[in-house]
Amino acid sequence: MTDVEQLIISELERMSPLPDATRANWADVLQRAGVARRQVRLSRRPILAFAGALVVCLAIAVPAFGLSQDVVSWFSAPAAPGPAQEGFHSLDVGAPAGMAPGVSGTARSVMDTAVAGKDVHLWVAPTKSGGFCLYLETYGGGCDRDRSLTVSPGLAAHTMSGPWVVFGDVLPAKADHLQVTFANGESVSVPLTFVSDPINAGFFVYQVPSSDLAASDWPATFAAVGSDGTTLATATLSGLASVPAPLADSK
Amino acid sequence: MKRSDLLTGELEDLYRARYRHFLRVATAIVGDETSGHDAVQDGFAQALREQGSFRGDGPLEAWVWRTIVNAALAARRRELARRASPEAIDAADSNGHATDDSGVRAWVAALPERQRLTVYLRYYADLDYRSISEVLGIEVGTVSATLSSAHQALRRSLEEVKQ
Repeated sequence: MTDVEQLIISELERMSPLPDATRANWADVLQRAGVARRQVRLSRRPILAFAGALVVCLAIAVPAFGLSQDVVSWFSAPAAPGPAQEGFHSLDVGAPAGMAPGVSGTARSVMDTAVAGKDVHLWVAPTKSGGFCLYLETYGGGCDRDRSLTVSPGLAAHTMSGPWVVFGDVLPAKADHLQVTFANGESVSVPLTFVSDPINAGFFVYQVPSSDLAASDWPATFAAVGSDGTTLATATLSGLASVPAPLADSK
Repeated sequence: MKRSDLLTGELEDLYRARYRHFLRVATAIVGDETSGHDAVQDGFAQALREQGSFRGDGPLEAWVWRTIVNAALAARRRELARRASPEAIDAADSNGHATDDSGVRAWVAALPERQRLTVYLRYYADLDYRSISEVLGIEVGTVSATLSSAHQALRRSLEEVKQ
């Protein structure tokens, strides 16, 4: 490297450091492209919608706790790739006061799955306050910074023609599976992948069978169910008619 | 899944992973971060609309960089036209950047456009010579020569200051 090159690099870095990602807003890009109505990502998670699929197999599963679920040992799970790490850690940058998730430590890949033939990973990162953020590659994610959401489903789609995916987590350690009940009354049992301390939560990814997601196909209720059939906690997703506009994904 | 859906996903992944670098280069070209952000957004929107024209014979990122650079250059031209008052012209150098910079950044701003873009893409976007050649539509050897010329010009400016 020449002296001039070193000077250029140092001076440019000093005078124009890499800007933060506060302004980043993919929803705005979609709107400018005129495809915002086709490219929808929805999330009920409160802190962010930063970046879902049939369930799943996992990288490292160990039998534990005498439960029937898969259990991933957090510290044995592979680290998420660099860009994902950067994505998690950039969430604090420019976040509104009190809204920064406080991601702490290494993000790890806790599930590998496929949606419409494309492999996707579910990455999770712990927060300083004991919660975690999750990100389903390609589809989206969110944070439960303070572990305040007992059952936290998100709904995302690559396009309005699908595939639609619900993904998220449950906190009750005794949960055996997730029961998803659709607006038409039908239901399906979705397995959970539990991740050990410090995450201590069960994760799910499920591709909604219907690609057009008519009102009757809407996944309306999510219940964490114990092995004895007891409902431990529930959450709902609003119907399409009341779903807000796609969330801006600026941090 | 349609190819366009796959590309849309890849474009979003690229946006999320490299937004800060795109913003940095676009801001350098346009002159301010707000306009730079607009250029990045418009560039990605154009890439989404025209993704059918991506032939896949080169990296997607280089193709996107080209749309971003073109969007930023177009934004700068619009801004220059908008500011085409005597006062605005007096306040800007021949490349359209306000002359409140000093040192290397001002010297880079004074370089011919191709040299300037090459410097931005090399040092702000951290692109290799092949990627820069695909973004600018020039040969790899031309990238090397252009960067060398930029180094020489900057070295001269540096020596002038030292004297």
